[in-house]
Amino acid sequence: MDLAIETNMLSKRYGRQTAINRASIHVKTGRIYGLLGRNGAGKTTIMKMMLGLASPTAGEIQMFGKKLVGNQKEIYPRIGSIVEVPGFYPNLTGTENLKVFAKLRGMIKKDAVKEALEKVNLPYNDKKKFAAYSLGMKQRLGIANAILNDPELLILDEPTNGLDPIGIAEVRAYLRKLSGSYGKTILISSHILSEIALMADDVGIIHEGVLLEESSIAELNKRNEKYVSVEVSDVSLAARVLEKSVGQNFEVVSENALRIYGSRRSVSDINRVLVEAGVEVSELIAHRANLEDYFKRITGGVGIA
Amino acid sequence: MLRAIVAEQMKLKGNRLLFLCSAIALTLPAILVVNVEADAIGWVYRLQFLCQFFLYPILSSFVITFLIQKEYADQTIINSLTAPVARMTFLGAKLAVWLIWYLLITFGFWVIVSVRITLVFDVETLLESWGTITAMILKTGILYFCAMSPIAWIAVMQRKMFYLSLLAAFLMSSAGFAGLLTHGMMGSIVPWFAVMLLNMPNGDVVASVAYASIGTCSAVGFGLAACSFQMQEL
Repeated sequence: MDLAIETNMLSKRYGRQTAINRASIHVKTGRIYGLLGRNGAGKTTIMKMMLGLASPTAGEIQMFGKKLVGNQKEIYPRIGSIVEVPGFYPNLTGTENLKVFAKLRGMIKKDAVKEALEKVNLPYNDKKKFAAYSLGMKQRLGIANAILNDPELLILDEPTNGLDPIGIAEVRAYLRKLSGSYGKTILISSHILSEIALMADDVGIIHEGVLLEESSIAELNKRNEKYVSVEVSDVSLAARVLEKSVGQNFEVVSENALRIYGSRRSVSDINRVLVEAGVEVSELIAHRANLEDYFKRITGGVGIA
Repeated sequence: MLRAIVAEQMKLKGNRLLFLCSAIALTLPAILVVNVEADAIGWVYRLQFLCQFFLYPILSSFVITFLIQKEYADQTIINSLTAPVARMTFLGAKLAVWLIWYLLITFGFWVIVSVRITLVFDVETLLESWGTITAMILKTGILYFCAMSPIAWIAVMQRKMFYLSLLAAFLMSSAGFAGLLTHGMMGSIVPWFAVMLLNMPNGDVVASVAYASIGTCSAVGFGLAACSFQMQEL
């Protein structure tokens, strides 16, 4: 499948601090890619580098199969974006704001502003100034601005921030429609795991500037179908036994509890191995893992929020 | 570039600060009481002293600071640059609006001065001194705009802050007055001294050095603004 965005060992340093460390991201054409990470993980920095708002310290960005450097004039008009908060002129109405950006963009359809506002359920030619907009309305206007030029690729940094649950669901449905029906590619960042799980086709998990995992949601779900939680009397002895029997595929979650991931052994088999080794097993339950558990595991135990 | 300038004009709708700066700039020369014992040229020079040498540089720094700082404060700069607009086009449009404002205010000042000369003196005096007065006002306006160019650089560098560029503008226009105490080469080398001395009747200034220093200041100021903005991380 063609890649709309490809980064190769992308790095960004601010002085001695490494914000992004050799991230290689692959966003496939026509799909929704969720960049998932905690606040400060580096999601916005990656997007800023893609949009030319920050320059990479090392590495390369390709978009639509072309190197970004030297092809910005050709590439950027094909992209719509929201980065950080939706920034608009507070003294102008939503319509006037979009007209300013339409003017800056130049060649767009005559009714583009009206259509974009209608798509996000905002009124055209109303009198309300942007300064008086609610956070939800501001986000909608940000999305309207991003789709103003009917872009092939949308880069959206936390676009559902501040939206109520119904608003989030509407934006999610709209973005899915854009991708599914119109073949748009969408790179969306979020720290809300459930949002990415519901919206994205592919996911990249970023933590402290490092892209830890890149996979499709379907693949992740499949891989994390099961885990077995075990409560034992001696967790270190149990860990040694499990290392021999199930390999490294487990983690110690507390003083007397472990989790075993993706093991082909049955629950009773695991119980037998532990008991035969002299470990007292007080509880042993088979679970279905969710994305949050997976996130915690690969980020070394920290939660998403 | 033209699109960016038109967009700038659209952004200024209902802008109070620009209106206020323009109102002050045009009201003051209209109401300021100036001693009429002097001849028409001397009279204009006294009016210029407060308006063109002090007030306008400071008001113009408000204008350019506002034009640039608001983009950072409201984070509209990100939407503009990802529209996409080339950084040089974006900055160029801001500087163009600043220049247009400066020229319009200078023109307004010239009109007000002309009307007041007619009222304070008479039409004949205006006709006699028209060329000299026009040259004085236009020269001061353009030279001060060039000498104030570092303000654009400071406005870019200070991002969301406001006061640094205003303080710099105050210092630059005050430096112009300090220039009255200097003469010759010293007064010609420092651009803000040079602007003042070049416009003084019988000012002791090496004209070629003075113009070169103002030109260099302008090139450095706008050049630094362009380079800083081009390399700035947002």
